[in-house]
Amino acid sequence: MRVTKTEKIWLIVVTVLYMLYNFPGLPAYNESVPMLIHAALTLIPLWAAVYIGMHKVYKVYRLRDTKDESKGDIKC
Amino acid sequence: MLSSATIWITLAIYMCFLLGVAFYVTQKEKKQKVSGGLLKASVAWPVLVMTYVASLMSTWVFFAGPGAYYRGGMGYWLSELSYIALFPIIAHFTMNKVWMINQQRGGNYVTPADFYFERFKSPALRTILGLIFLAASFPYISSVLVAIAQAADFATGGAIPYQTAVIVVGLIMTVFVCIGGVKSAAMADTVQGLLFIGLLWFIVIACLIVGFGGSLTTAVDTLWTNTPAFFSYPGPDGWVTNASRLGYPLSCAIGWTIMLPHVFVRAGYFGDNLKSQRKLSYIAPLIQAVVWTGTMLIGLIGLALVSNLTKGDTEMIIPFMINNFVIAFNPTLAAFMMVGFFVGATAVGLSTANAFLTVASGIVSSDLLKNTFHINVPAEKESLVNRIIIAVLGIGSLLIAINPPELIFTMIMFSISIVMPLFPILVFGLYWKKATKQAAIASTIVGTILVLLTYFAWDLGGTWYGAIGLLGATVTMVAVSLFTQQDEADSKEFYEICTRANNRFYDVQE
Repeated sequence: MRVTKTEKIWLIVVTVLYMLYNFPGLPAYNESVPMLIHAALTLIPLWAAVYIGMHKVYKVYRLRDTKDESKGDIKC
Repeated sequence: MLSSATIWITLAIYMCFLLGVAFYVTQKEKKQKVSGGLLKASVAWPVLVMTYVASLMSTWVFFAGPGAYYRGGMGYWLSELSYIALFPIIAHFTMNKVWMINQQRGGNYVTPADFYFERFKSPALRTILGLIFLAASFPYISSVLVAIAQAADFATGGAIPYQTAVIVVGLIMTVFVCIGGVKSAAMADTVQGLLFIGLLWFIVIACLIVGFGGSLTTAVDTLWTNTPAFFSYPGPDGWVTNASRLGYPLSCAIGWTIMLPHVFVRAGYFGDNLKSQRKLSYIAPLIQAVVWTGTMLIGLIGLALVSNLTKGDTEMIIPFMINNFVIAFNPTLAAFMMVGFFVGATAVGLSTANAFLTVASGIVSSDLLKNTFHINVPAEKESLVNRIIIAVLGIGSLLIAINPPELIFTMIMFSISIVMPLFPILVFGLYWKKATKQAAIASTIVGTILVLLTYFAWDLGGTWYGAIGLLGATVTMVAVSLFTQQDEADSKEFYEICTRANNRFYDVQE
């Protein structure tokens, strides 16, 4: 399967943000405010990156109208 | 609190609803002369989204979830948000490709192993995968029966014995799936899904009004003072550690939302077109976030009200709050909420169990009977054979449910973990031409053994779930592929199908 540049960027950005959320030792245990700040700084960008990236990738992969064409290959 | 008659009548009404759906769907199929058997479906996006989300909700929303937030705190909810967000990207790189290839092959895939066979052309791999997916099905179906029977037991103060409830609910589930098949299950999911998401939030708001005068701030302040551990890692019970913060969401992102067999076929086979697949990616995480947040709030309110429940009792936090707080506030509201809780728990639980049951019977009839033992069932007898298999599987799950482990959560998470090692095989199969069937088989076996060791030898199941198996399967897949060879003709056809499917469905503009 071919992977486009936009897909690669999407994959890398989301992976980096997911790793940031899981960075060992951050936030410290039993610290409430740092947990909330850490979540705001990692999870909000993660969600934003997923949805913005999805929008951009779907623009690259435009859907063809397949209503009137044949049903694909012979059944397996 | 509720009489046993109330529960039986409620179950009877719900059974009538399910049979009505099954009758409607089968009649509609007859009129439209559509046939796909009991085990295949092609559905529009609203049904696709709701059947997918309902399959994930299962016993989580009313049982395991509130109990898990009670024990794990807000950090646990945050770790869940980290995996829910990943669904669109994982679906784009895997399940949408699976969907396209299935469509290119005439939409004939029934089980997850059908796809793997298309790529690796290995009957042995198909058999092993079939057995693993089947092994994941039994604990999950049983967990649903356990949860519903416990709810009936709790809601009636023991008037309905646990075992009686398991048997009755197990039979309802089996009869419904025998009659209606997968399309009826998907339709029932859609009708009841939104209703029970509404009910979940009704319970949240009602408990908040009863416990804290409707003020979430007061509930949060109370918890902040009495149990501050709720708002930090590793949570009140100390189990949301750095390790489980990675291991758990990873297991859910891959195991729960992609690889469980009933979810795999929904995300990969069921959409009626690629637009529906994309709508699923857009909408499902948002609905999931709404539902999971409601579930977290129930755990939050429950812990703010009472902080000394035992592990097992935490999964009964909703009926506990109704019995101990709402009833004193307004008995009618309490009765209404208890009925709602019971029906909601039954409905969302059965959604998942029905979905599992259909795909499990597909695994037995297609992967095992037809393709492993080469038993050819005449076309006119296929539905009958599938019904018999569904009945046998349903009764098997019922027997497991009669003597369950302490936590429903444990059963669900084991199912998720055991299918995780199959994910790297899917990814390498799609994107790496050098991946061989020998590697796929070795990877499956190594991954499964590692998951079993994680749970039963190393006692790390509660932290790493299937993550160690996933890692072992990934390494094995690469290493064995580099040292083995497979006839190129085996995968050549698969990649030609991929190219044709890409050209058929996409106009790539980069």
